Parts: sequence; structure tokens; C-alpha cells
Amino acid sequence: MIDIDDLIEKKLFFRPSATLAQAIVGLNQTFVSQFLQSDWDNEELDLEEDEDVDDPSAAFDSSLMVQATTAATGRDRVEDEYQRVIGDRLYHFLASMTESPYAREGGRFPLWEVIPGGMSTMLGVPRESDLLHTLTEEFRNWLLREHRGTYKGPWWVVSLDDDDALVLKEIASKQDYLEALAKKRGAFAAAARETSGVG
Amino acid sequence: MPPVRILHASDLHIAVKAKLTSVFDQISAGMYFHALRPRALASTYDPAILLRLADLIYHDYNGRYINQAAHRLDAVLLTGDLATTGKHHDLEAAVKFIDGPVHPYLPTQTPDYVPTLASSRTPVWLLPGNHDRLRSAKLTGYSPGGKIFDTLFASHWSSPITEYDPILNLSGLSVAVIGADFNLEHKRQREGRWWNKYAQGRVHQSVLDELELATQRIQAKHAASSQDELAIIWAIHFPPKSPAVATSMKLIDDEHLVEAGNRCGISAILAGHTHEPVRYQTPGMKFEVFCAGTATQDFAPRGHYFHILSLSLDAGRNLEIDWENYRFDATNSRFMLV
Repeated sequence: MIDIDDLIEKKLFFRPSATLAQAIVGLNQTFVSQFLQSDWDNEELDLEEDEDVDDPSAAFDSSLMVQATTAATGRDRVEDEYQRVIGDRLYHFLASMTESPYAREGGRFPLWEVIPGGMSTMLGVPRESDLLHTLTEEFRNWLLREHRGTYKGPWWVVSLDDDDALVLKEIASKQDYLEALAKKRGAFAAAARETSGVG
Repeated sequence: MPPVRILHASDLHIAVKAKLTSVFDQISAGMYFHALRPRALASTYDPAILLRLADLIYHDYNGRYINQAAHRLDAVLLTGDLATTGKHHDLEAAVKFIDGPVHPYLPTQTPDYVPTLASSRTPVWLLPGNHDRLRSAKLTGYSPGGKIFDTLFASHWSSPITEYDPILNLSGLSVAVIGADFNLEHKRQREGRWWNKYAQGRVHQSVLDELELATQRIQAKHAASSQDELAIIWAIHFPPKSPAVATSMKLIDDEHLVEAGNRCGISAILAGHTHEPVRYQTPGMKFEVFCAGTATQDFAPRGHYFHILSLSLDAGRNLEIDWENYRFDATNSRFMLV
């Protein structure tokens, strides 16, 4: 039985360092821009388009500008957002692997293979990037130092074994837990009634 | 009696590489002109949420998460904007999502860890949205009329009309779904000169005629061979008479579509495009419209949604459509019923 306190809020999950997060986002932007540029250079364009250029004065509607002006733009907040996005995507990637038949059969996932591989897609950066190696290293250190090798999520547990392989297991969901708790309370109440002789 | 259950999602906006910052982030960070660069305008997807959507569809074959009554899904319908653009590389990424290949021990991912539905045992039906038809243009960046979608999705989509197979059949009810493409075929078909003007659709008379003919053909064939009640659903990217759509994104001549739907006695239109989950019926409309939100676009201020339609017959053999909305819950890393 898990305790309600163990239903850990996701905000306690791993966050990469601000420096790493900034570097990953920068690489993503560079990579995507280069990709688009090379794509642009290699393509035949629709030359008719000249006659139908957008009117720059109508480029944005007011709702867009409201969002732009109301969004906080401080550097700290931007970096915090980068850290959150990267941590979130790793969190969901691990959750996905936990539900795989392979994990349910007790399969182990080599850390240095699945994290760089999976996060390459999740973060839109080349798999061979050193930054993904650093991300894996930071995650590994966080798991070992802050959670003694085992992190418990709302419905899953990730552990790192001695061979640097991830072991992912489902545990009771919050719904399962609440239902179990209700049953337990019902059993207590019934026991109390029997003890007190009250029907 | 078990209902016919269709998972309806839309506006995935898959791209060859997910951008970690959206155009909105770039504006808010003060990089106005960078954001204005034509080719940076198209927003992209969150691969992690796409992966969790694939997981849910794969695992729910046995009613594990979303089918609490253990009624399996009968079909998954994606009403357009599978890709961020209609360019080859973005559409290829969307094809991977539908057809794989599959990772040796992760059934919802490809060997290079792209989310995929290829292992799902539920039929997947799809159609193009305006983003899937965007092709390169010189100064505005993108222009409508791209045709690559039809080639890459040839095994799933036959333009401009697709009668999805199989016709779903449960408890005396048959449900036939037909998809239609009302995207702009050329930039000159748009109205106005607004920003985002190519996000409009148009009810092309030739496509509407084909849609009506296909509907009548299915109805006639069914009447000759079955005692079941028949529900016809049209799947279209652009919601007609939508209360939630901006003028720059409207479906031009949508009154013709509504009139045709009334004439054909359809039960519903399933659509996407607005990124807002809404169920509505306007005056003069004899059917309902079910509009999916965006399931996986990165920038989603209203959240990430899909819905499940459950179709069944009541005691008087009248069609009932139950609508369940699911929203992605980041803490649980799952889509949850709302």
C-alpha cells in the first residue's frame, strides 16, 4: 500500500541544470533553423506568391499581441520554462516505457541507450549530441543522489540497477489507492461497530 | 448493449523535428522579427504528449484506461493537421506515426523513438487539414494546394472523399464514416487578406457532390442488405458554422455543407481546426458537430484534448451520441476524463 504522501507531485521530478537546458534549447533552435534553411535552399518555390504577400500591418491579431505582452519575459522565468519542458518530456517518456509489455515482463532499459535515443526525438536534437549524454548523466546523478536510485511517481517507479539499466514498474494508481483507502476505512468502521456492539 | 466507440482526435501538428520554443515564446522573449520569419510561423507538436496518446490507443484495446465499461474502441479518427506542413519531411514524420516501423520492444515507438500507432489493433482513419496541404512559397512562406499528403497517405486516404472501412456494426446499429477534403486547392480561393488567411477552407461543389453521392450509395446498399439502423457521420477538418472560429480560418460556403448534411440525414460532423473541443448545433442544422481540440500541438493554451463518441440506440431505436472529453494531465502523464 502506498501512502498518500507518496503520490509525488511532478514538480519534484528531475529538472536539468539551467545551463544545460539553455544549451539544449539553443541547439534545438539552431538545428531546426538549419534544417528549414537547407530545405528552403533545395526547393522550387511558388513564384506566383509575390502577388499575395501578407500585409505586415495585419501580421498579428490582437489576441496574439495580448499573449505576447502578458507573458513574463524575465530570463530566470524563461530558463525555468526550458528546464520544465525538458523534465516533463523525460517524465512522459519514462511513463510510456513503464507501460510497455517489455517493462511489465521485467525487462531492463540500458540507461545510456534509451535516454539519449528517446530524448533525441523528445527534444528535437541530434542523437549524437554531447548534450544528450550530459542530460543522461545529470538524470543519473539526480536519481542516485536525491532518490538513492529509486524515484516513485504517481503510478510508477523507476530504479537504476548496478548495470546502469532502468527498471520501470507500475504501482497502484491514485484511483486504485483512493479506492483501497475507502475499502480500508470501511473495514475499520465495520470492525469498530463489531467491537462496540453497535449495529 | 455495447455502443460503437470512436476516438476522435485532431490537429496533431507532427513535424520532422519538434521545436522547443513556439512562435509565441519567441515573441514573448522579444524576438519579434525572428518569429515573423515566414518559415518559423508554423507551430509544431509535443512529442511526449503524442507518445502518451499512442500509448493510450495501443493499450486501450482491452479497455484499460478510457473504456471503464470494457468496451473497446472501434476506430480512431484523426480529422486533419496531422503534420505541421505539407512538406515531405513533416508528412513523412506523420506517416511514421501512423504506419511505423515499430521498435523491437516498445510497441508505441519506432526504432528511432518516434511515437507510432502501427501496433494498434484499432483501425485508424484520417484526412488532410490545411496544414497538411501547405507547400513552400516565396515570400509568405507557405501557400495552400500541396498534394504530397495524397501520395504518402495513399493507403489511408483517397482524395477528395474516403469511405472508411469497416462500417462499424454493433447491437443493431451500423455506423458509416466518410471523410471529405475541403481544403483550399489554390491560394486564390481564399477570401480577404488577413494574416493566417490560408487557414480557410472552402466547400467545393464538386467535392460536396461526391460526398452526397457516396452517402446515398452507402444508404441504398445498407437498406438492401441490413435491418440495422444506419448512422452516417461526415469527417471534415473545418467545422461548419463554428461558434469558435476566426474569420481568417472559416469554412467558406459552409451553408452548402449544412444543407447537404440535412438533405442526406447525417447524424453528425466530426471536425477539428479550431483547437477548441466543442459540441454544437446551430439553427437550421439537423445534426450535431463535434469539434476536437488539439491533441498534441505544443502551444495549447486551452489544453490537449481528444474525445470519444459512443453511439447507441435507445429503447425506441433512436440514435444516442454520448460525448466524453479527455484532457492531458501532466502530473499523471495520462489523458484523463474531464
